[in-house]
Amino acid sequence: MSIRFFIRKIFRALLTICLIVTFIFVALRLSGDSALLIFGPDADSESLEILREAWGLNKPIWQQYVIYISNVFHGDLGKSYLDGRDAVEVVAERIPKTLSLMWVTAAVTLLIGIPAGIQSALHHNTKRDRVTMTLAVMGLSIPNFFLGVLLILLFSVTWRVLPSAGSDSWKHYIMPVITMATAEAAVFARFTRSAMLEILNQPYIRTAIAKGVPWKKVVREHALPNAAIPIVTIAGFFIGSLIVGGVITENVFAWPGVGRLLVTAVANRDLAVVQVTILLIAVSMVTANLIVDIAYGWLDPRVRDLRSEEL
Amino acid sequence: MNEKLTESVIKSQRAPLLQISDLTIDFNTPTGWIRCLHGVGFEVYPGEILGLVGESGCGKSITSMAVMKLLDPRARIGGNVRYKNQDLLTLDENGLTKMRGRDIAMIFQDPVSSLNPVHTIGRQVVESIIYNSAIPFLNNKVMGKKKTEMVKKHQRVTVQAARIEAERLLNRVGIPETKQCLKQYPHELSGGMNQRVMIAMALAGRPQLLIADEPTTALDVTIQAQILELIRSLRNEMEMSIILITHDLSVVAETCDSMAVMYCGLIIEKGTVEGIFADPHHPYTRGLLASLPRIDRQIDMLLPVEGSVPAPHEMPRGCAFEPRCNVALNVCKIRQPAPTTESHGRSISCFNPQYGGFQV
Ligand SMILES: Nc1ncnc2c1ncn2[C@@H]1O[C@H](COP(=O)(O)OP(=O)(O)OP(=O)(O)O)[C@@H](O)[C@H]1O
Ligand code: SF4
Ligand SMILES: [Mg+2]
Repeated sequence: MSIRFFIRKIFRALLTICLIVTFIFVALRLSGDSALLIFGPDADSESLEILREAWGLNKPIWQQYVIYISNVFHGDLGKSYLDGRDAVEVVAERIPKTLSLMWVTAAVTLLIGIPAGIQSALHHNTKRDRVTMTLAVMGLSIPNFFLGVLLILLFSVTWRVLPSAGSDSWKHYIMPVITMATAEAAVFARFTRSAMLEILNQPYIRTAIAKGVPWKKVVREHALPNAAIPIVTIAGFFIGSLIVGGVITENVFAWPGVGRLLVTAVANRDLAVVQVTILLIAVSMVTANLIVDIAYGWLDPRVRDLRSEEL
Repeated sequence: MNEKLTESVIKSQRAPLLQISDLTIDFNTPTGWIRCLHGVGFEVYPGEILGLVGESGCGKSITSMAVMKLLDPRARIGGNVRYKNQDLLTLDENGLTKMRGRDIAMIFQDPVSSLNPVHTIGRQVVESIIYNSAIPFLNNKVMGKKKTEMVKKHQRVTVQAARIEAERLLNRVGIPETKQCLKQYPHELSGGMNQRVMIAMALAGRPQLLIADEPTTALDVTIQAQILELIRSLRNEMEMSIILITHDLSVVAETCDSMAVMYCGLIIEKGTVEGIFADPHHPYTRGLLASLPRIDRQIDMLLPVEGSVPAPHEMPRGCAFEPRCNVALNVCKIRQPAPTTESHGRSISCFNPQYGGFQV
């Protein structure tokens, strides 16, 4: 793959991050007076002024933006309004909890979704296929928060077998993971199934069979690796939806991760923390998509050549 | 010409390599079962090239796929397909895997999409060799089993041997830079080169029958001629029989020994190429050949005869060709003509076959 292709992709990724950061910066500042929201409606104007002065909120928005950007380039992402600690520190200490939930969810999703999709495709139009796909549609149509609340009602309130909040033991993982992985696994099962069916209908599969390659090997050597290419392309979406699903799920289960931090920070108008969190999310999503893009070209020689030709 | 004729007469006295009889195929469609093949029968003799011709949709491809059992498992196949007295339709999965590539090999219309886009040519040719060779190749990658050190060493040797064999095969089908070609991907080669690769893979198991389903339709004319020449020379060299499926009567005239003309899922006339070109008996065959301006010119068989092909679900009760036939009799509307055999293995399905008076 050509260097120019890389540079162009990375440049685009950076541009995307800048746009997101700018959008959040402006949106947060236009959506209400932060000082007023922090001190409450009965705060006196003097203390409001002091607060605005201290955080630079009295300057015109473009000036605030220029200052913010120049600070960012100096490695200063601002301080939390609440306790004056570095916003980066506040966010960073939440990352491990979020990551551990995401890892487990991702593993469960892939281990259930992909094999289910493959089995469905290999037994296309049989009872097994129809049952799997019905389950997948059901899994897809339950909203995250609803499933989360339902699980809490059943397992924590009614049967009292699982904890409804916190993250201390493996038991705490069960419900959040089920909540997030249900819809994700359903997406993967459906997507894997259609990718496999598409590949199984390709003429080169017929060639492989006609060559005398045993069916199991046709699946393993020709169908699965080729179906993996489109599946890799949705990995970017997957990470995005893990992040979004994570925000909802963490709040339902009071999971002390970044998602919960984001919601409390927005509620408290803790601007710097919100901005750092959004930046983190943007960087992870853009990086994920960049990796997917590169992996895609690496997996498919046609794309690889196309890229080095046109760029 | 005469020499060729006697040759094929002699051949026809030998036992057929492949014998198809009463082959029927039904597909399960949303509107129910539809019969697309209505009892097809023909034989392929050792060393001959049989041309299977007919308009698009008449069932040439599904006939050949039925022989290899490559049809969608939901298709219902009836009748008999015998290869060297072995019934192919009742073979189990294991027997089919063994038969494919070793006894019967197949090449297809679109060589580029018939090769796996993410595997190198080398990998695909080697795969063909490994699965079809008599030597027990034990490639770890391909066979995927636990192996001892000794066996592993042996594998490396055999994979090496397979590579050498792959190079030899590519060389045989006329690929100039074999070493480089092994490392390339299908999209890096032209259609003609890809078809040569397909042929090389088909030769890997030294099959006795090669089915070529419109192998040159997707290629341009000069390449077409080269590929056909290659197929002909391979037949002579390897004593292989070939079923050549084509739209193109001039290809049949140049390449084949015998031919079978299909119409709406039926064989309506079959015999030697010389015999049929000199004096076609079935009105449909006569129409086709009359519309052929000169034998050495390529013509497309789309609508060579007035009228159009009936759809599979609205087949006439009598002769399928009756709506387009200009010598139809009353009986043609009610009954289907059965194939009648004449001399030199010629067979016609028609109540009113025509004789003589035909100039090519
Ligand atoms: N899977 C299927 N389901 C239903 N009908 C099918 C299926 N496959 C083929 N057919 C039908 O079978 C008939 C014969 O198809 P076939 O592909 O053998 O034609 P062909 O003679 O090879 O035509 P062409 O010259 O265009 O390749 C067609 O009418 C087609 O619609
Ligand atoms: S059977 Fe009758 S309708 Fe059919 S081709 Fe012969 S003459 Fe024509
Ligand atoms: Mg066809």
